[in-house]
Amino acid sequence: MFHATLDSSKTWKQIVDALATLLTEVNFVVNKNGITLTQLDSSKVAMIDLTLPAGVFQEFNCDEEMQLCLGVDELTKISRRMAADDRLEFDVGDDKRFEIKMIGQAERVFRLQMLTPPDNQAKRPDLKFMAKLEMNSDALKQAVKDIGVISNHIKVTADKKSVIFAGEGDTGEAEVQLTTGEDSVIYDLDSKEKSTAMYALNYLSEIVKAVAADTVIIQFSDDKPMRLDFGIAEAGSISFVLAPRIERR
Amino acid sequence: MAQTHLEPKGGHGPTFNERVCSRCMGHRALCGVSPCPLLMRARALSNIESAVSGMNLSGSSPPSVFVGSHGYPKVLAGPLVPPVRGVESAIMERPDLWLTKSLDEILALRFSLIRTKRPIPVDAAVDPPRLLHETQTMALSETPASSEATLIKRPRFTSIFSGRTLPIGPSAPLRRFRLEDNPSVPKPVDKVTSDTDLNATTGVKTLFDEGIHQQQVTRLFSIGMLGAKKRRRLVPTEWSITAVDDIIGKELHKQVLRFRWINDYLVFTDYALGNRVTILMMPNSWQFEALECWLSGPDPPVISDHEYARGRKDYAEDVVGAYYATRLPALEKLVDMHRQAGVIVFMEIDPKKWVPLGVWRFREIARRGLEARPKRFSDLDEALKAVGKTLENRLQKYLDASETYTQFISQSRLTDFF
Repeated sequence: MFHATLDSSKTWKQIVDALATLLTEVNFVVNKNGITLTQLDSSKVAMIDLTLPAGVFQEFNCDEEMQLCLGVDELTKISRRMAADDRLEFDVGDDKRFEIKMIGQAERVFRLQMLTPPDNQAKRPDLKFMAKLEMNSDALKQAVKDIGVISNHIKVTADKKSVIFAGEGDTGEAEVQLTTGEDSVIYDLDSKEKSTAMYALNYLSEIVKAVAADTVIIQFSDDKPMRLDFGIAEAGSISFVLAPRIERR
Repeated sequence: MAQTHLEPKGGHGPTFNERVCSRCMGHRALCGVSPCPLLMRARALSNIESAVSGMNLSGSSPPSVFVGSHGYPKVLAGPLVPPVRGVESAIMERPDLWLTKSLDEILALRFSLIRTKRPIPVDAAVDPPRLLHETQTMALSETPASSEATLIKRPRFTSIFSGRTLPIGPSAPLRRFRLEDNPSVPKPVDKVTSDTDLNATTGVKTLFDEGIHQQQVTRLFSIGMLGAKKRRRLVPTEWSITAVDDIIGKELHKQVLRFRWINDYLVFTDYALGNRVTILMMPNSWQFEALECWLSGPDPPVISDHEYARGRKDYAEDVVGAYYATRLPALEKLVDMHRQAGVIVFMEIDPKKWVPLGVWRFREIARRGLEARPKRFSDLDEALKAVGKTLENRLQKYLDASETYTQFISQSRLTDFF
């Protein structure tokens, strides 16, 4: 048995949109502490790690741990039907359906069939990073778009004082340089030495679209995965991990 | 011996320039040679002038219909009727049985069909007038239907080819059309077409699941017999071919995403009618790329379109119809194998042996190629070497044009790091 309520349909929409960037199926793990999700995308290039503590919800009850495996298309279609001021209720009863109730002017109920969960659960990665920066998420979105004009990959370089996003394509090169200081969009930068890595833009542009918070934390190392963290629904958090592109052999 | 070269007699006459011909389709005189040598040949092959003496045409349609795209939303549509009767005409609409035929045989088959036409607004399918209704009834049939048509003018060769559709024979404006007996309608076809609440996409999927031949599904889609009643439309044949390829492909795509990856690299290949299709499957999540090359000039360019795991939302603008026509067999094969893979399709067209037969050739060559046993490799370079051997153009030329290949070799996976 699982029951939870959420006052803001906007929060739920943000969560679903974030999951839809990489996944076609979501596999929530629900227990008394809240809802978590740790999943690789189908090509194993990127990963989403979502934590929604019970406190995010107004009411939250779960008597035993369960897996909720659902199709993302269906979730997206349903969340599009939510009105801005709808209150949401989630239930899983004995009939093994995931029930979403929208309470507003009308009371609307959607019951979704659950899918078979995958055999192997992805593990939360334990990665050490050389560079860590906190920045304005709009500035990141703009930088990714700028590089996307020319290139299909983005090279990120961080040193003590600045962060550079760069890319090159058949038609030329593009570069966005951000330095720390007052009024800078870089709020915090911690890079012991110069770190550089390259990431596929088709992934990164999808990921940054999902950032709903004002600030985002980026961590990476030389030719290693990048991790992007941001808050969602006040007490919740999402992180994306993206594998690097390696220079052509 | 079957003739596969389509060259004008005499040897010094005009030759076929595939780029020009593919734009001209025999009716714009772009090459400056008049009359069009292709058209002359078509005329000679079909001998239609002597077969149809008056304005009355009676014969067994395969069944086949054609909806033009010119002038949309008011289009020229009508049944295709050969001047002969009998069940033999069925093969005229079955490109899947043509790969072993010569070009001349194929053209002779198609050019014996007379395209009757009448201007009809596409939304007439909501409440079909008599002539359209009769045409629709014929489209339901799975076997050739005896019919009689009265023409306004004698059939003439005008535009015979289009990039995507099957070759079209001589055409004539239509006055009257009548079926002589009741069509034989498969049960699922009857059920889906009479369901006026079912949307067209679901209709196509249902028919496909029921094992209705793709050619018939496309025909029903084109003549406006699928979809919710008020939204039924005539769909130009060339659009409906790709639409059906895409709708069925999308459905299979969803299934494929749930399967395990293949373990090895697989190479499939086949050749027919001047076209080479080679398919490389790689251990990866679903991604698809179609690479197409016309073998003209010393260093012919390769055009490409691709999609990643989530499929594509916009139209494949460079490879167009052939993209969807080859994606479908690739997905069919993966569903059949219960496996997931990244797929690259290499298509080569030899212009010297080429006439515009429509995109069906890529679909059917790919299907036949995928039925055969693949070559299996544990190493990408070995697999690519095998791919290269099947192609005339340099392999590197293809790889340079390929987006998904570059991604495949340069993108690391998270599983490499933890």
